[in-house]
Amino acid sequence: MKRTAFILAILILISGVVAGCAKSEEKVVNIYTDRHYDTDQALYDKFTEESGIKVNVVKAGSDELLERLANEGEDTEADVLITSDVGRLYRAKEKELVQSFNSDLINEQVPKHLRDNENNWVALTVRARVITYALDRVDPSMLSTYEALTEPKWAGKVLVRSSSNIYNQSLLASFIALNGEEAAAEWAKGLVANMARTPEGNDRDQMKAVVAGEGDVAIVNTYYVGKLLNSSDEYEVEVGKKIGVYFPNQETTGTHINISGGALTKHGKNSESAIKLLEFLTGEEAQDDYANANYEYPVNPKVEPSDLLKSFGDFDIQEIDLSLLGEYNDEAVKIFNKVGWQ
Amino acid sequence: MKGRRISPLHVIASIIIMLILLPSLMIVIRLFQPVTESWIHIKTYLLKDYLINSITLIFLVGGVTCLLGIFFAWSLSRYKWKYTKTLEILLFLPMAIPPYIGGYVYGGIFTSFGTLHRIMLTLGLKPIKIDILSMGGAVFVFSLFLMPYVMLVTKGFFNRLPKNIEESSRLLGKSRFQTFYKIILPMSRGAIIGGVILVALEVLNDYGLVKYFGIPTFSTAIYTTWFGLSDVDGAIRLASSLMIIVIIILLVEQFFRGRGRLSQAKAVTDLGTKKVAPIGYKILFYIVGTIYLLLSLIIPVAQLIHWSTLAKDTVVLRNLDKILKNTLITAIIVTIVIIMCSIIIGNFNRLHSGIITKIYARIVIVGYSIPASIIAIAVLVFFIAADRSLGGIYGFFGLKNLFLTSSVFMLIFALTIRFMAIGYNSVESGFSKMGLKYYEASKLLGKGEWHTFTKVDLPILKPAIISAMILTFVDVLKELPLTLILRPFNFDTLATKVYTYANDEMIHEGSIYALMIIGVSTLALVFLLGFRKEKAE
Repeated sequence: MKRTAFILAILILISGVVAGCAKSEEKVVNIYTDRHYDTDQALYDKFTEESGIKVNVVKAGSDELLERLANEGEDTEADVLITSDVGRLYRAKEKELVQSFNSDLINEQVPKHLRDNENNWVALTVRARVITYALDRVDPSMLSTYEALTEPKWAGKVLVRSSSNIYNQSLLASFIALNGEEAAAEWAKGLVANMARTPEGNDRDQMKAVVAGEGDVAIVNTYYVGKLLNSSDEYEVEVGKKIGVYFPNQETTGTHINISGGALTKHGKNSESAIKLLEFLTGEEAQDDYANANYEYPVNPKVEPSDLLKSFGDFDIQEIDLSLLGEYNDEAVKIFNKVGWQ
Repeated sequence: MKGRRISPLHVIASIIIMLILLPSLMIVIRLFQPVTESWIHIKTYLLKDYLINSITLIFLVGGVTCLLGIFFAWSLSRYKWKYTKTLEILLFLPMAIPPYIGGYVYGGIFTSFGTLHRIMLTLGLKPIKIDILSMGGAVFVFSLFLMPYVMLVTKGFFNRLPKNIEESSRLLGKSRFQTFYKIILPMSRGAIIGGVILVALEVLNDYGLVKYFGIPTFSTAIYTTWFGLSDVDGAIRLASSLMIIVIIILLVEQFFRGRGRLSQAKAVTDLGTKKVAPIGYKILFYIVGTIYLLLSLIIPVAQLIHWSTLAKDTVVLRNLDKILKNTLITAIIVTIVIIMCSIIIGNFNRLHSGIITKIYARIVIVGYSIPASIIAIAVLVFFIAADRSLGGIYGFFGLKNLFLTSSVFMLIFALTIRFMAIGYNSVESGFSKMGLKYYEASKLLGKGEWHTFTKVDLPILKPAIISAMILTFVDVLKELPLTLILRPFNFDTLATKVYTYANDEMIHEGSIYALMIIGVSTLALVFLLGFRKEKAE
């Protein structure tokens, strides 16, 4: 019996500790996010400083967060959902986990194509998926479009990571939206045929493989080119200097972009603070920080990209409704599986 | 034993088992839901190849860890070495490096322009290319960092195996190797399999390493269904079929093991002393040991240190004290709860052995076979349901609606379920070696249950309990998916910090926290092993 008493005592102790953590009333905003950057935390700190609103964060994978949100239902404490893929925002909207909001300030700060057409989410940053190439072997005039990478001249020369990567999924989803399912499947099949190796590693690894001569071109995010060029590892900087950045499809459909974006949860209790946070994050000050600290493109037209991104040059983006990337995500994954893009 | 009907032990053990099983049950129930379209898609295009990859990995990693684990366990438990304790700690430590971090480390070493490449360039050699991001590489990395599981479980068993068995065998003219092969190995089968099962389950539930290495496995199929095809139910369905297969395999194993079960009541009294190893064996041990430690500890730690120095200007060590506190408190509480539960269930199984208890014993560990994110969802669903049904009480006390769900309770519960397998396996091997003789003797002498337990059983179990504590503590320390999904607001641990950096291709920053995990594990090992020594004397 002593044992039972002992266990009970411990349970009571634990519950005491937990209860002790209950907070008093203060203005807060609670975020579920799958962006893990220290720079994001710094922005939240800045927001708290300016508004007096405390920011609480749970960081996890976006699909897990959506599932948590769905299960918590009306009782959720989360007010804002931030993901680094528009497809997840689309899913959240489909599952009615987020609500529409209206802020003149946000509408003014973010162009229309970077906002949901029913104001269910707003973009915070933009990343472009580009073709990088070996400066010593590839003349950029050889490059033109994503589609051209399936031509025979690139056989055994294309590097790209696995299809479980969300940015590959959204890239293919954009092709489904633009050219239809059949053409998209053709492209995926052609690209698999031209791969230099079975997909492995992350975006940085693809660029290193290009410089090492395993292939000539790699499909990567601009964001990781920035990371490479600013690495504290001199060898990585070396690699970064040996590759060129090419924005494909400039004459045709435009370069593929994906966004990080924020939304208001449907059952959030602090909507007012939540909107304030999104207004802050799309404002000039925060956008400047995003642009400079993390090599992402700002969404606020008043803010310039970082010097590094500017050095890659200007480019036209795909002109499609970003929500379509979410809508065709499942289809894209199925195509990848069918054509054997691991 | 009067009134053997329903003892408090019975009730408590059953409640614990029910609690542990509930989330798994919630997963298995989904098996009976209608088949979704994505399930058909997965089955058509992915399942076969992915299953083959999973099985290949399990067999190869299981084989390598088994060989190495038995070798080290035998060497440490039978022979005298200089600095035995240090050796022991060093050989355990690779366990503190999560395989996916090991994967990044070796990726970083062997990749183009990786560490090896540079060293060869500096030496004026032509860089060789080793494709580490491959099946062979995955087997290599998994084996390195999972070996200690087999060693720990097996060593506990060897330590308690009476030496007179070997002596008799030698006297009867068998060689050292024959004795080991024909007598020791068959006797230790249960413990070895116990260790290898942990390794196999660990391989099965991994997603981080196989994703980076580009080797699609069963986990990949689960996550493709969930993340790629946004079909949570389909993912859970896949997980549940996996779980059923694992249950069947484990039960079959248990059935065969049951037939060869020995009760070694004499074990503790007759340990004999450790001998000096023959010279040939010594050389072999030093060579294998050095190579293993070099690959599993020295090189990875050196690489992590190098990366940390690169990140010293960029890493933000914000709230480090809070992170350490969270990490330690979670690990300590979960370890204590798991040990208590394991002892209760283990004791229950020993006293009431039968079909049901055997099934209990296996089922307790099945949750370990499926990726943690799926368990996380099951726990979440369970807690939200619990919170909703307790809503009235919360209202009375003025608590928020999701009181349990939003507290660290949920996380601790989930971690307990998750690592029950680890702790329990070890404690159970202690119980199975112990038999009932001492227990019955004590009862015959008129001592009560509690007295018998604390004064007789517990001291005999101590080594097994310490192994269990080491395993659970280190495992909780490096645990990831559960903590990530189930944590309350603003709750970071060392492992979540490592992950969030590594996941975003910022391994340099993450390595500082990875080193801290290794550091904390070292301290825990020194503390726990020291405790064992002191009490043994």
